[in-house]
Formats: sequence, C-alpha cells, structure tokens
Amino acid sequence: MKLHIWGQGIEPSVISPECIASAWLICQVLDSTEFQIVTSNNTNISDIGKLPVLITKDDGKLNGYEDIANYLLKGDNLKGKIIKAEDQVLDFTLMHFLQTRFDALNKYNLYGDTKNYEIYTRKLYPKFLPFPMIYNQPSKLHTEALEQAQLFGLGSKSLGFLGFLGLAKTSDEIIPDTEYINSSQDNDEEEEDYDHDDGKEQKPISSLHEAQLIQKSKKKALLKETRTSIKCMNLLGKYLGQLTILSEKNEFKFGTSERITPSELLFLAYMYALTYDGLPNRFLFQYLSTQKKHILDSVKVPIQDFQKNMEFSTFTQPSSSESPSLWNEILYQFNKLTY
Amino acid sequence: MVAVPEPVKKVFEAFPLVEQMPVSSATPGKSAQLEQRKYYFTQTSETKDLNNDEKFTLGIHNVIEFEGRYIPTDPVSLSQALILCFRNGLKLPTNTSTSPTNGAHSDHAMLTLSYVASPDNELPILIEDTGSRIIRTGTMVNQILSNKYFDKDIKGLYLNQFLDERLYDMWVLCMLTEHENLQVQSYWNQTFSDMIGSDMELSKLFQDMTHWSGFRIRHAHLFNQLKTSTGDFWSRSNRKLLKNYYLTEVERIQKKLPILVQSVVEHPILKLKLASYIVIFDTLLSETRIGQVFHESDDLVDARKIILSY
Repeated sequence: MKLHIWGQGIEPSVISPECIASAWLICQVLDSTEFQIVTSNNTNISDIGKLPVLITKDDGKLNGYEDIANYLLKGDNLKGKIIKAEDQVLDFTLMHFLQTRFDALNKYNLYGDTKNYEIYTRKLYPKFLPFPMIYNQPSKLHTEALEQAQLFGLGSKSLGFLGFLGLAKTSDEIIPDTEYINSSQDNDEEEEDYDHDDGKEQKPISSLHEAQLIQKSKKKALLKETRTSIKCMNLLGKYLGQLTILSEKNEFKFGTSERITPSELLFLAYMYALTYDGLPNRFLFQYLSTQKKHILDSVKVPIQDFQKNMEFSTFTQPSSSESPSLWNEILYQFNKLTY
Repeated sequence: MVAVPEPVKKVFEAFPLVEQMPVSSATPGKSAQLEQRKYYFTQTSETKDLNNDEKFTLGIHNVIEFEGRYIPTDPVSLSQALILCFRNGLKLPTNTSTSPTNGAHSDHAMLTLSYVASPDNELPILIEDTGSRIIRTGTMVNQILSNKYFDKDIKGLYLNQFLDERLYDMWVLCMLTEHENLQVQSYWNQTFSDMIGSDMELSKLFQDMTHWSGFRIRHAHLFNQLKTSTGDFWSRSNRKLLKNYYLTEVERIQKKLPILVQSVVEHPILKLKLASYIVIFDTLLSETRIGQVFHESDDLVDARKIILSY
C-alpha cells in the first residue's frame, strides 16, 4: 500500500493536518512492511485534487482522511491505539467541523500571518516541488488559503467601490517595492540626472513624504493583522470551548483516553499543526499556554507518542512518474498519464 | 446668535426646503404581477399573532406542486419555509390559500425571485416588513437559527453544520454535474428570463452557482486546473474533478444516511432540514445518482409525512 502525502523527507507537512493524521494512523494500524509513505506532493494523483491518497494493494484509490480511516479501521482485531468510534454520527460531524473550522485557523496561521508565511510557509514549496512548478502553485494556494480563512471571518474582505461588480480585489494586495515613486532600487546615477535637468523632471512626491506615507500604511496593515490574529485566537478559544462542553459529557476526550477515535486523531493533528514549533510566530501556542493550559497539556503526550511511533523507514521519495514535475503535469493534462 | 448673511437668507427664502415624500411607483398592473408570484402560507388556529403590519416574505427560486401544496424547488428554501411554518404555526401554501380573497391565507408569503435580486446573489432571502424593511440572506438566517437552537447542544451544532454544508454541497454538485439529465428550467422562475434553457444562460447560472454559500472557496481544489477561454467551470479537467468528487460524496452520504436519519429524530429543526433534502432529492432529482440513493432509502416515507404535516 502507498500513502501519498504533502511533506518532505521523513516529515509530513503541517500545511495538511489530514496528511499528518493519515500518516499517524497507518503507522499505528499496519506493520511497517505492509505500506510505504510517499511524500509525493502531487495532487494529480488524487481523484479529487487533494492529498492524502491511499493506494491499496489491489489498486483501489481512497481519497481523503475520512475514507482512509474508514478503510484502515475496517477489521476487528486492530493493533494500536485507534479504534472505530461508537458514536458514528458524532465522529463524522466532528470530522467535518475540524476539516472546515480548524482548517481555516490552520490556513490563517500558515498563510495569513505575514511572518509565518514569509519565513516559513513560502519557503516550503521549493522543497516540495521541482523547478519550475514552484512558481504557479504556491501563489494559487496562498490566495485560496486566505479566501478560506476569510469565510470564517479571518481577514477582511473589503469590497471597495466596485465591489458589487466583482471587480475589486481584496485590499491586502501587496505593492512591490519597485512600484513606489522614490523606489529604493533607483540607483544614484539617475538621481544625479534629475539634478542636471534643473528640476524639469521633478518627481511628483518627495521621498521623505513618500517614506512617511508608506510607514503609515504599513502601520495600518500591522494593526489590521493584529486584529485578525486576535480574532483567530478568539475563534480557537470558542471552538475549544465547544469541545470542552462535549468532554464534560465524556463524549470527547482530547486524546487522553486509551483508545482514540479517527476524529480525535484528526483533532490532535490539527493541534500539532497549530502549535508547530518550526513556525516563527507561534501566537496560537502562546495563547493556548496562557488561556487553555489544560488542553495544551493533555494533547502534548499523545502527539509526542504518535510522532515517536511514526515508522521513518517507510518514507520514500516519489518515483519519476509520481513526482509533480512539469513534464508529468503536461502528460497529465493531455491524458497521457493516469494515476 | 450669528446673523444669517442677507444673500444666503434670500436664496433659502426663494427655495424653501420641503421634504418630498417618495412617490409610489406601483401601478395596478405591477402589483397584480407581484401578487401572481406570491404564495401565501396557510393560517391555522395556532398561528402566532404578530403585530398587524408585521409580515415576512421568503424569496425563493420557484415553486412546484407537491401533494396539493406548493413547495420551493431547492432544499434550503424548503427547509427555511418549513422552519418558518414551525416557528409561526403556519402551514405550507396550498391551491386555495394562494388567492388573497380566501380567509385561510396569512399575511406571510413565499415570493419567486431571480437570484440576482439578492444582496449576495443567492436565494433564499427573508424579507421582513416591520415598519421598516429588513432583508436577511439565507446564511444570516442559518446563523440566527444556529445561535438560537444549538448554543448549548454541541452535537446538534455539528450535525447542523454537516447538514448545512455537506448536503447543500451535494445539491450544488448534483446540479453542476448531472444537469444534462434534468429538466433544469422548471427550477427557476421563467418570468425573469425567457432565455433560460439556452446554453448561454445556463452557463452563467452554473458559473454563479459555484459561488453559492462559498462552495467554490471551500472546494478550491476542485477548481484548480488551468483556465480556458470559455471560463474555468467548463474546462474538461475541472469537470472531471467535480464529477469524481460528486461520486465520492454520493458514496459517503449513502453510507451515512440511515444513521443521519436516526440521529435527527429528536430535534425539530434538524428533522425539517433533513426531510427537505430527502424530498427534494427524491422528487426533483430522482433521475440523478444522488436521487437514486435517496429513492431507495426507507426513510423517504417519513420525510414525506413530515412535509405533509405542514
């Protein structure tokens, strides 16, 4: 069996907690000789354009964590900690809740937060994808992620003057440095030229004035982002509050019990991603460690367990036809390559 | 007191400021046409008395006849109509209650609209007339309901989210992928567009439909393929992805349907929502794959009974 996921080397990536949960699950349920985890990062392998995908021994294809969990937990004598949920309805509705609400939080944390995006997430793609595919995909995923976070109120969707026509873009568009009038890239020679022209080609705005304006707008953007970050923490607090109500009725255990259901495993994977220690700005982690310490403490042990039990020997690189290269993409578009 | 300068005073005296009342643009013909598109809910002895001038109108795509009642053609509008009936002690519109001369009809009605009339380009919308007019979109109404009924009931809340999102997506997916097999025209009111049925119009409709309830944003990976000149929805690879996703979802829902039906029994709101989906999938979309799934299910009889009790 082959499990295709987002990741690099022996690490499933936090950009897809579903992939992390699938990798944890398969390592718990099967012997390491029975399967391979391929960090292929190629969404074309999936029927529905989304990883994870499990390819079974008889060439069946299972798309998405939910189907993979159902398939792997079919038998009765399972090894490992994970069991099928007794309350099936709660299990799949909870999974839907996590895949929408927690996913939006994760997307905002990785893509919406400027520091995390620029220092961590954006730099992942060159590791995931071969040249030249690194250019198109990431910016598309970035826009999509921001839109998805916006659906749950994270990030502002300013429609602007022409918003009702669908013409206006989101207000968060970044203006590249070269677009400024007194751009820092301007070399000194040019400036000297202007001086010789005796003021005939004067710039419409002085560099000091522009620098002030830019600083002002940057300050504004920073304030806006802080506000959204607080909203994000609030939402996380609200969602965890709902889960706490469930846990008071013993219907949800934050992964502390002996046996863990597929939806709880997915919850742990999301918590792992939200508090991931490789991120430069761990505002959600800080929020949790001050406001929801008990939850953070209770998920820590099972997460470490699952990470430890991951069979690193099963991780393999994608084969040449599985890799998301330009050549494969072209073949795929022309139906010459099917997965 | 500062004295008003003489020239200014003269101007204002020459042109006295009088507030003009808005002139009603309704002509008898226009109101008659509006009246034709209205389907009044039936009054019962349990109908809650609102203040005299308070009334609501539910804007929907179109209606069909279902066992002597008029029901909306899409599941969300149907569930909202039923929930309005449930909360206000009303019954669904019938043949007799639609004529305003009949005593059984209430002040509240369903009105067929074009979806572009709505602020967010999707129906249903709830128009409340309480002296001033408040328009609420379907998403807002769902949010209000969710806050009212599921504040403490977390399992119910998750189930409600599942029905509102996954089953709704199922309906959109079914429309997008299987519309060739359907008489799609009857789902939309013809008054606004004689062109419906033409390829151009349908293409526009389905393109807009992909945005309803954020479907396209939530399933961005289905629309990820290269864009073509004819608009990305119709591109071959996107349609393949949509179709694959539709088939996977049909299978998933099929497995869940029996336990879903059991789990909503005790909750009036969830029961009405699920029943709406079952009836719409079965009556209007019976030719489609998802229609078949619902048709074979044993829970159909119950769902019909629930609707017929309104």
